[in-house]
Amino acid sequence: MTATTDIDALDVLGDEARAVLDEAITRELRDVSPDFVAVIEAAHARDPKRVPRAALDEALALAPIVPLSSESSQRISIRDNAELRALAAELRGEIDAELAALRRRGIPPVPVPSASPVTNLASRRLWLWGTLAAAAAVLLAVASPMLATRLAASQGDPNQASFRERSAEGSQASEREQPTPTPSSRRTFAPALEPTTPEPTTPEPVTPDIADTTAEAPVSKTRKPRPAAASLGEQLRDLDAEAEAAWQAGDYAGAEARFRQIVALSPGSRAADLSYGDLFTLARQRSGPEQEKALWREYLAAFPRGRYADDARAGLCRRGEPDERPACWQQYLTDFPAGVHRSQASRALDEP
Amino acid sequence: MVQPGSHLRPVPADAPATDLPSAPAPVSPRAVEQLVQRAQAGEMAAWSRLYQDNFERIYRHVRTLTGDPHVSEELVQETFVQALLKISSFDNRSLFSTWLHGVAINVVRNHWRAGKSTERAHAKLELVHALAGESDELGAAVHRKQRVKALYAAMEALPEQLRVAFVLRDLEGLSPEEAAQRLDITPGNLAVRATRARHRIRKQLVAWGILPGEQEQSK
Repeated sequence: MTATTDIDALDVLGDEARAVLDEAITRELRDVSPDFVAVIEAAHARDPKRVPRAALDEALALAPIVPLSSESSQRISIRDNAELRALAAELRGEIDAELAALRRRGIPPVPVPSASPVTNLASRRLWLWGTLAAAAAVLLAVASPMLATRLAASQGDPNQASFRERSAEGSQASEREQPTPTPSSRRTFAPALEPTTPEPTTPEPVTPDIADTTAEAPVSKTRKPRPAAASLGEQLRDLDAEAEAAWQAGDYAGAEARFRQIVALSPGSRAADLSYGDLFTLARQRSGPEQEKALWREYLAAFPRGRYADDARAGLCRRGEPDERPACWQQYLTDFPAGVHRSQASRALDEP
Repeated sequence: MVQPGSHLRPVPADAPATDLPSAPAPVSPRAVEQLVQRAQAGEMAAWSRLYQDNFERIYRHVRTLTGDPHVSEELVQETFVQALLKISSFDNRSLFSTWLHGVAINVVRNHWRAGKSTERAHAKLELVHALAGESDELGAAVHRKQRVKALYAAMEALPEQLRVAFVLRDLEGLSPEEAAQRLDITPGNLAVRATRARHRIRKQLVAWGILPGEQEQSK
């Protein structure tokens, strides 16, 4: 073992660590809530002389610390989004119920100055309905652009929110090349490609708190069909959350089926690219070597320059027939001259 | 210590105007110096600005040191609490941000000392067993996170001084001079620590099969 190769191996790992950390930190910072007042409170509790009550009062009077980046300040969390929709739906339902009751009772008399208590009541009810309707209108007017912004962002960046757990880096090109899904394809959940291990594609109910994060109100613990109007981004996020939940629950078949659905729903997208990473892991745990190789080939056909292409190519070379390996590694070095496995490729080519 | 959401306090209508912009603009060294002076005088608005301007970079620093997202936010808060209590000791010999990073390193060191337990050793063993079953069939990308976890597990075994030196040089990518300044040691001393750290980490990772060993390399 030469010192040079040792250092190179550790340097490679260091590079990986930096990339993983940078990606993770960027993601985490979106959710971190800087809390200046908590700092002052803690300091005051430990040393009231150095940080007196007046300092705490001053901090409390200051504007709250705002999110750190402009991106985070524009974000609407999935939960907020769902809550907003739930509230809007609740308001709409309330108004509809009141209007239905009104129709059943007939139009109330027009209030006059000398109105009886009954007509005063009717007047108040009309005022209430009007207020409710106005509130709903205001809410929807406020919420709609936010939701639209969020949904538009989701379309453009399916890696947000539920995809946070995985790499944020990725091929912008593959996103640009992503075909615009048709409405029918958005509702098609059967995978376009045969899964490595055939599994039912109808998802089972998963952990409610995860599965329901983006559900329409009222929230049901039984998984409902996705609304036709759900955007592709929403569907992908839902599927990803369900896959994560299924995986955590030990339902690997369910997780695999959902990742397959993501691939089928959004071929060529970053979400699909990322999903293959999970499919590789699942295949390694659940399938045989031949199925893994088939999956790598399938992936390379879809993502010849995807984020896992380097590894998939190297994996195929390692598992290739002995007489095919040199050519395989040679081609690997040609295609990935700075690839992670270039040292192994060179060693393989040097072997007699 | 940190109460989620507690930063969302109502702002009184007659609250004094604050110079906090919605996104922090770059601050000149002179302006930082003035902010620090105001903070040393106990002005909370100045502290608020320093907090806002430095939160992200301290989070990155702490997160890289610990490798643990679950403790990082709390340790960052603790860093600012310590800074608030110790600001009188800041003598402007270094940049405020450098001093603040030093405070963060001490906070993380205390965290490491408090966390020495068999729990970590068990977690480490678990990790090694998990990785032992995985050959290099698929490669780095899918297992990258696991490899990074292994790297942090190997760092666990290092003395604090070596661990910090390795993080500053190899993970944060600081120059020897910058890293030495953070630790208030000479660049030569820093280089020795970083080299020792690398040697030990490499040895451990080879033993775990994460990095290629002598025999594998010679094949």
